[in-house]
Amino acid sequence: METKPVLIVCDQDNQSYWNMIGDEIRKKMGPVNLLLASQLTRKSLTQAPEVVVVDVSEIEALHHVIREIRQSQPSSRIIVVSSTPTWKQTREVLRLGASNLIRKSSDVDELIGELRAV
Amino acid sequence: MTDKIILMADNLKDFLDERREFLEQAGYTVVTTYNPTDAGRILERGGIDLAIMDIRMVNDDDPEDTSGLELARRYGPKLPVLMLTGYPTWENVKAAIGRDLQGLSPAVDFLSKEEGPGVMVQAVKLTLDQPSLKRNILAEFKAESSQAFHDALEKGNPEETTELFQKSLERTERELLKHRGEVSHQAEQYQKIATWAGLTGMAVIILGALLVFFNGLPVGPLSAAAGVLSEAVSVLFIRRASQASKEVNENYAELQETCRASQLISMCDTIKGKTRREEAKFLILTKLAELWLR
Repeated sequence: METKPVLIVCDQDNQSYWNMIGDEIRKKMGPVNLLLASQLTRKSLTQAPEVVVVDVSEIEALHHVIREIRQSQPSSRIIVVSSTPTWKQTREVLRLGASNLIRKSSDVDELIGELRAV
Repeated sequence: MTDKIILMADNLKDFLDERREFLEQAGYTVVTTYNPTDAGRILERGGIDLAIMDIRMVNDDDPEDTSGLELARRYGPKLPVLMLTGYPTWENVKAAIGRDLQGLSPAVDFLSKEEGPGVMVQAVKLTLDQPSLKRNILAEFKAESSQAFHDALEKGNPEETTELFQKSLERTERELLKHRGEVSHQAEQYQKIATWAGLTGMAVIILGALLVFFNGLPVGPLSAAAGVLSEAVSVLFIRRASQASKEVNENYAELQETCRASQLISMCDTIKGKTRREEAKFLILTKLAELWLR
């Protein structure tokens, strides 16, 4: 079993979804922590996760999260998750420093496969 | 006139010839090709400072045609590549500028043809010219000119030189990120003001029309004037917001190249043996210095 630490940063609205997914990711990929975007601070990022999954719907909040992570944990890979990605949104998050953007999937295995691939 | 050479590769001749003029007016030497085979041959030969590539270089009607992306993957590690496409999709953006496990991407930026020639020229300028990084490199090396920097490079200790160069990259990245944050915030404020001014203008015009219609009050011209004034303010702030957004995009290209350079040098930390590691870093920085400070 891989043991890459994964941090999930999400909105309050989709917290229950990510709590459920987080359990599955934990079984297949290793330690997982979940953090609300509103609680994100430099101190909360001291554990240096290898992968950070970001699911934040409000654009300005998403940009803020990516900037904070990039500045405090430059070596972490940031994967943004979106239900309906557009090319401009994808370009914007990648320009800000995310490593990749994946489409949100209802199939958990598919989502984990995407996380592993990136 | 600069001495930088750009390769433009696109299967649409008219489009290519039109865009070539904009780059030549900006002072660049442009080499054009209409197919991926010739583009590959030119890139293999070397001497190109930046490549602008279409994604569908064989058949514009075939969404499976990613011949331009394949070229970017092959040559992206050797020189900066800008993808320029008439068919932007989120999957293509990912493929072009999404980062692999080493933190590298095939292209440094992704542009849509619809964004116009000005955006393309600006992206080229900031990828090749790197004004903030150049300033910080010269400051870090206490050099008054590019020539003085190259002299310092020749005479200095490679390990110390690499450290100074890395410091300039980090300082530039911090400055550009901070500037980007400030300008993004400004764009957002302008947009809010524009929206409120626009809504107020519309409300005043509608209210004036209703007062005239139902009460016969002679406020029509006054209301119309106030409404138009509000709309004019809205347009002014929309323009300012648009200018600020342009500045954010311009900042990006420079930031990307700085980050790319930082990552290339950091990757050398995986090389075993201190001497080989330092030699690799020094080689990368001299190549980058040739590109940005000649």
